This record gives sequence, structure tokens and C-alpha cells, in this order.
Amino acid sequence: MNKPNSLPCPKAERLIIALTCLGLLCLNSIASISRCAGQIQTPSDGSGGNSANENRTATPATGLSLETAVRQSRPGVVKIYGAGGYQSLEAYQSGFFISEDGLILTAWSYVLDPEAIRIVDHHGKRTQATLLGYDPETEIAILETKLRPAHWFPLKQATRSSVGTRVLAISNLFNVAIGNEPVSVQTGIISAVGSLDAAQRALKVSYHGPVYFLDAVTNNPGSSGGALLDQHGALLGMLGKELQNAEGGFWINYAIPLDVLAERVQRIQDRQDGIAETDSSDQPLESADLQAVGVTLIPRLTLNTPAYIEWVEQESPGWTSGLRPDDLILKVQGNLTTTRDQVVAAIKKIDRFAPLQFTIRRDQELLILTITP
Amino acid sequence: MLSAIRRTLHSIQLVVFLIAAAAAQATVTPVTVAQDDPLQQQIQRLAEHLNGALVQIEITGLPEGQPTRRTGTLIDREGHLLTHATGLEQAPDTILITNAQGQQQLATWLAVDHVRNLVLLKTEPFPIPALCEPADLTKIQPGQTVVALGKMLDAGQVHVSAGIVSAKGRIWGKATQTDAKVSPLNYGGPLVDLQGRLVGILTPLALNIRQNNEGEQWYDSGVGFAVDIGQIADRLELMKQGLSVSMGLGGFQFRQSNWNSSDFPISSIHPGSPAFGQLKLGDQIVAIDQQPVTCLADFYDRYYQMAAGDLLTVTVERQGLKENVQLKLTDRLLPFQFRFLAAQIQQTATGLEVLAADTGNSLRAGDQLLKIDEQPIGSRSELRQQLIGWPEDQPVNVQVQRADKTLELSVALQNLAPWDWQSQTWLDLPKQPKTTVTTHAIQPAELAQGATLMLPTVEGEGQQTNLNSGAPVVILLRDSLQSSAAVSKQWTDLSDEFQIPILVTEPQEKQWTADDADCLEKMIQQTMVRFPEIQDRPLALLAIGDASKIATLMLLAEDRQWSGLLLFQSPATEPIEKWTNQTEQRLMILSVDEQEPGWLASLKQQRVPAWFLSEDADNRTLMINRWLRALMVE
Repeated sequence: MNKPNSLPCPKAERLIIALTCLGLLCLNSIASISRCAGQIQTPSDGSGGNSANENRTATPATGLSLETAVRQSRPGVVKIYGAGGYQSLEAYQSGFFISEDGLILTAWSYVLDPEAIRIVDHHGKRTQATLLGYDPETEIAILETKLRPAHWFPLKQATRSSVGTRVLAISNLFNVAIGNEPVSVQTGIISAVGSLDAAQRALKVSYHGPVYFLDAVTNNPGSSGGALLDQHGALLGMLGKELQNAEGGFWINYAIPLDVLAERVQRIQDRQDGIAETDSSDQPLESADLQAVGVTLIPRLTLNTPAYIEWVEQESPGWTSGLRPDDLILKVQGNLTTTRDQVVAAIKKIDRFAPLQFTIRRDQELLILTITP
Repeated sequence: MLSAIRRTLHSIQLVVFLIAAAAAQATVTPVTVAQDDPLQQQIQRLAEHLNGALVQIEITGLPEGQPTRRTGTLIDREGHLLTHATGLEQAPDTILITNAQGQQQLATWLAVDHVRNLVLLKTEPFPIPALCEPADLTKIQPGQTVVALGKMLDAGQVHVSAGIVSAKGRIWGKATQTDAKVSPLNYGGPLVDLQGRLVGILTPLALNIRQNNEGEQWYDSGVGFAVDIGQIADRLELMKQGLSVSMGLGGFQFRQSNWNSSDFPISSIHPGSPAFGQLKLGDQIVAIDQQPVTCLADFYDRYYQMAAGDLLTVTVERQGLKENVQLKLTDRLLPFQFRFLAAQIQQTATGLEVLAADTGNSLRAGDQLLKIDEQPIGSRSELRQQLIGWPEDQPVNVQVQRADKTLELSVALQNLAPWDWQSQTWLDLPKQPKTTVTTHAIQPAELAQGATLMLPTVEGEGQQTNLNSGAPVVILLRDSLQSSAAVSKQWTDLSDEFQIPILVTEPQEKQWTADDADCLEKMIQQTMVRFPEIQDRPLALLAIGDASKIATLMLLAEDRQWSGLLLFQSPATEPIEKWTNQTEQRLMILSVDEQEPGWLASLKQQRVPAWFLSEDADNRTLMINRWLRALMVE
């Protein structure tokens, strides 16, 4: 007899106590549950810093905590205007204060090209910023201003947040906040914590490190450089650029986690020229070579020729690893290769002294074989 | 025990809602959020608990540009898993699955369910900590929190999106709608309730049942669908045996397109289909399986869930009486073929009269058509309906009135297009009364460019329109590279020679774009309102030069029924897999070009009367003449 598969609810009893004793907590949870996946955009109040407006009493129907978090943290996010403004290149993005002396963290992009970058803060105050430094790998940049921000986000982080965490995304997406209006707020949850590498090949970005994937549609024109916060208003990360999956054509919403930001900001600040040192380049000095390990693929007849092995030289490293003629290569280093061309391209990216791992199909059998050069 | 907890939880939620409602009345001061948010924790737990029930699927052998990765949901411990069918309608070269532990193995393709856009795969069983137990859908309520899970990004962990149930029984009663973000990231994954019970499998679905992939346009929009788990279970045993589920076709259609209408008599019946000989034109469906049908959508709600092989029992109202008809639905309708009497026919007040006939044919000019195969014939559409699907190489019995005699004739039908017939002389149109062509400007207010309607009228008799009885309204799409003045005389002559109305249209901008389709539709509508005498006539598209692309788009959009299309440049269009044009409307496509386009060949395979001529496109006048004659002969 099968055991019931549904998720047991050990929290249930605790919940009973929690919910009955702590009415307010429950109230808050329910209010939050009801909109946890919704996308909320704040009405532009256009107050330009009207403090009476900021202190409006929270109404229970729309929840309490998020309003408090938004009220406190939204002044930490700014609108950034610079180069662009033609075709699909918008001349605006978002950023947030990371120090009390007015440093702004944002996305490194063409928007920051001009000498004078324009900043519009939460209260509609305008100022100019200069580029202090950037990290070409994560594509983040630090701007310097003379502002003394009302709110800023310290770059310190204990742990990375986990799946299901309810988040706020604050940015000037689509430049909806015009003139003196403050930026927009969206809510959602963290869908997954992983690396952009997980969607490798399908994604065309320079950064392959860890990210938060979000279930709200946060990554839009103008939102890159915006702040990702938890529901208490604490900084979790920075909204990334618009990112399209090259295969499916759909867009991925993600943010770079705070621990990565902190480490990279340190790297930028460590350098006199303000350009963070990168770890390594993508291309190896000398690429791996199938011929050199004794493996010959079938001739390339069409674009979609599958990567069948035609010949393996006896006693070659390929032979020793177990590769045989008629094997079909499905993956190289764990990444799917659907054609001969893709296998050839994948091998070019591997250093010739690195082990080569192939996932192959032999009739109806799946084998993982490693060639050690 | 578990279910008791669930029940308790349920009632607690209710209580809390009441507290919340009561609290909403009072003034409440802001509070800080509890560190352990129960929803957040539950979602985290779900993600961990069900991680093993999802796999990442990778596929090789798909056409370039098709996504190679997707999510799969395990439905039992024997290795059966479901994913969405888009792009996997057939078995690909290799299906590779990766489970939560990172183990990889091959999977085989078992069957596709075209109705629900799902595919069943099978892999070697491996240990799974927990499966998604099916939810009791009757207890799932709109507003309830649900979670969509996917594995597209990372085989090692699920990707979650939380939302609520937006509605139940969507897309012809097949799916639960949610505002959780549903996209290629989680298509093929499960939609579960907060206890991890399976509500359905996420897949793109659309109201147009032949184009479920269109549902992808809704991705991440807050409109997503999960095929109800109950619907899946009904078909699963057959699918496990490798039997695919195809859409169940009865072979009948309605002219009524308003889903709210209760008046939808059957307007066409496909020859050789399950409905052929069972249903009759004009039958009104009033019940399915003894359950009353109140409107067209109500009918489709049940019909579009059915698969080939299912029995459809309908109650129809026929001449005031109710009859029960049982149809065994099929997966494909026999290709239909139009056949020709090879005669020019004129509609008169009393019926159909032969104007001219091919010499090899026993019909004569002046014959009145009375019956075809014992069926009385009074109109062109009745005649065509009767001849569609007539067995090949079998003559048809035609009863005619010739002078004062009633004759029974046996007429051999022509299969080929009129431009392939041996003798062409009889196709020359009889002399018409002296007419003149009047032109009228058609200018919908919101459009920059209008159109010109050319209408043959009888001279002197109060401008009465004089049209050939079989003439279509020709929608002429001008070559954007030619100036309009230079060609106008040619079209006036054509309108005069064939006694046909021609609507000469222009692109709104310098060149034709997809946006022109809407503008053309507006011009056609205004024309029909202003000239009601032509509004019941068939419409044909004549595309000159670069207009061929927009003309083909309009044909494929299926917003209107077209009776003909003539092209001089073949646009690059994907092959057309299923042509759904109604049978009663004969569609004659003629493409004149250097090479036969693939989409035309795909239509020909389905026996749509499409022809390709590799003649010199410079010989345009001759081609137009042949095409127009073909539209007008029977």
C-alpha cells in the first residue's frame, strides 16, 4: 500500500496556536498570502516629497507590513538618466544608495556613458553623478554623488535567501515614474536560487554566477539597477538586465544577490582605476581537440548532422575512456549538444589539458565517459 | 490523520478570514512581519518535498530554434511522466531526463494528447521520495493559493511561482486557470495546492483548439492554465499503451460564430464524415448525452473535450421533431475534392439554368437543373454541396428540364481545374447587355488610404447593377510598386468584361504590411454596407506583385471565407498542416510563379483546390481571365 504522498503539515499544530493566539500575525499573513504573487505597482503620488503623504495611515485591507517596508525603503532607490533613447535602448535605469555619503550602486550599461549622469531621487531632487568604477563581469557600477540620502542600503549580508521568500522589487520600470515621481514597487517571490549558468547556452550574458530567479515580471526596460528587498525592506540584491532566453524566446526575471554585490563592490573599490579584476576569460589559451584524443565524428552533411562518432583510434585516450564508433554524443561537460556543430563549438571552449566529459547514447543505453588527456 | 489536520487547517483559515474581516473594521496600527511567514515556509517545504517528483527533460533532434529543455512531472512510480506537447507532438531522436539527484537516463515517447496538449513519456523507474497526490478538484476553489513548479532552469531544484486559482473549468472545461506565473520555465510542471496535491499539469492552451500553442502568448501575464488532473486520468491508461488522443471530429459545422447564440443550425456536413448521412443541414442541436445545450459555447464546452473514438450522442431538432443521433468521432476527415459539371450556370428566379457546357458533357445550354442524385437543387451552394466528395470516376445522375421534357442525364464529373480542361471555348462568357462601369470611393474615416469599388451597371436604366450570376466580389490588392493611375483602366475593363465588382485597394503606407489586414477588412465592411446588392456574394483575393504576402495572411487568418486567391509572387509561409475552411465554400487558389511554394503543396495534399502554374507572370491578363472563369463555373 502506498503511503499518502501529499505534503505532511507539521506546522499545522503550531499554526493553530499561532493563528488563534496572535491574531495580528495571522491577519498579516492572510493579507500577504492573498497577494503574494500579484504584481503591485504603486500609484505615482507625484508628491515630490510631501511628507504628509509619506505618513499616510496604513489601511488593514491592503496589509500593513509591506506598506511600512515600502515607505521606509523607497527613498533609497533613485532614477538614473544618461545616454540612449533611440531604438530599443532606453536612456534610463534604476539605482540605489549604498552609503550615507551618496554612493549609488547600479547596472553598468551604455546609460552611464556620458560624463554627467543625471540622478533624480525619491523627492524629485536632481543632481549629477560620476562613474566611480565598475565590474565588467557582473555588470554593476558605482556612481558618486554629493547627496546625503534619507535612506541607504548597507552592503552586508549574512545568508542567502531561499525559495519562496516574499520580495519587493523597487525600480523605475518602463520609466513610468516621470518627472518628480518616485519609483514603482512590485511584489513576488523568489522562484529559485541558482546560477544563470543553469540556463547556459540559452542565455547570452557575461555573468554566470548565482542569482535569485523571481516570479514577478521585474526585469523590464529601466528596472536594471533597481533594489530587491525582503518584505521587511532589507536589501537582498540588485535587479539584473532584461534577459531573454535565446531558445524559448521568453524573458527571465532575476536579481544578483547581495553577497555577490558586496564582494564585487569591494573589488571595484580595491582598484585605483575602478575596474574590478575578472576571474578568468571564457576562451582557453589552447582548446581541446577531438582528433588529438583519437576521435573522429561523422562528416558534417547538414546544419543538423547529429554528433555520431565515426572512428576511434585504438589505444588513444578516446578509446581508453570507452568511446566507440556509432556512439551518439548528447552532452559535452554536462551541457546538451544536439548537433555535430554544437559538439565542435563546445569542445573549442575547453582547455586541452582539462578532462573531457561526454554523455553518449549507445543504442538504448546512456553512458557518461571521461577522457583524460 | 493527515486529512483531519487538513480539515482543521481549512476551518482555521476560515476563522482567520473572519478575524481579518472583523479587524478590517477597526483601526489597526502597523505591525512588523513575523520572521517565520507560514506561506513562505510552506512554499519552501513544497519545493523540497516535491523536488523528486519533477525532472528536467532535454531533447535532441528538434528543428532549429525549438527549446531543447523543459519540465516533466512524474505521475507514478513506474516511470511515467507528463510534459506539455508543444514541439513534442512526435517522438524526437533522444529524450534525456535528469532527476533531482542529477542522475540521467533515457526516456521514450509513448503518446500525445492533442486535446489537452500533453505528452506521456516513460523512463526506467527510480526511487522518488514523494509524488504529487491528485487533488480533489471539487474542493479546489477560486481564490485558493496554488503553486506552479518547474525544472527548466535547474534539474537539481524546483522553480516556484505562487498565485491563486483564478477560475475553474476553463478552455472548454479542460483546465484550471491561475495567476501564478506560467511560462516555458514551468510548462510540463505541476500546479499544486499548498498541501502539494496535484491540481493539474501546466501547459499552454488556447480557445482555438487547433492552436493550443497560441496559449504561449499568455506566458507570465497572470493568465496560465493547468490541465485538470481528472481529465488526464481518464485517458491515461490508453496513453500508457501508446495510444495517442486526437481531437474528436464529427464532420459538421455551423455558420453561427457567436458563442452566446442559441440559434446554430448545422450549415455544412463533410462528405464521408461521421455526420454524413446522420445529420442533416439545418439540424439544430439541443442536447448532448441528454443534457440540454443552451448556446453554441455550451455545445463546444463538451464537444471540444472529446477525442477521436468517443461517442457523441446529440439530440437534434429537425423540422419540429426531436431525433437522437449517435456519432463515433474520428481523428481525421477524408480529404474532400471539388468536382465540376463543367458548365456555366446561371441563377434564375426558378432555379439554376445552364448557360454553356463543355462539349464532352450531356448538358446543353438552356437546361434547367432540377435534381442531382435524387436531391432537389435550387441554388449554387446546394449544387456544390452535393458534388463535393462525389466518388471519383462515377458519373452523377442529373435531372433536367429541357424545353417541355424532363430528362435523366448521366454526367461525368471533371476533377481537374478548369484551366486544365481540354476545350476552353465554351468558357467564353455569353454576350452581356451593354453596361458601363461606375466607380465609387470607399473611404473609412480613420484610414489614410481608401479604396475604389468598380461596379458594372446597366446603361440608362437608373444605374441598376448588372452582375454575372456566379461572380465573386474581387478584392484587388495593388502592387505597391506601381502607381494606381497606370493600372486603373485595366481593372475597369476587367470589371466590364466579366461583369464583376472589383474593390481596388492600396496599402496604407508605401508598402503592404500586416497592419493592412485590418484596414482591408474595414474597407470590405464599408463596401458591403453601402452596396447591399453584393453582400451575399463570395469574396476572392487577387494580389498583384508584392501584395501576395498580405493576401496569403488574410486567407490564413480565417476571419472570412474566401472563394479564391490568385498570386503572382509566392510569399514564404510555413506549410499549412490543417486547413479548416468550410467545405461549402469552394476555394480556388492559383499561384503563378517560378517555383511551387511549400505551403501551396501542403494545401494540395489536403485536396484544397489549389493550383500552381509556372507560366510567365508577364502573361498576367490571361491568368486572371482563367482564374475568374474557374471561380464562376460549376
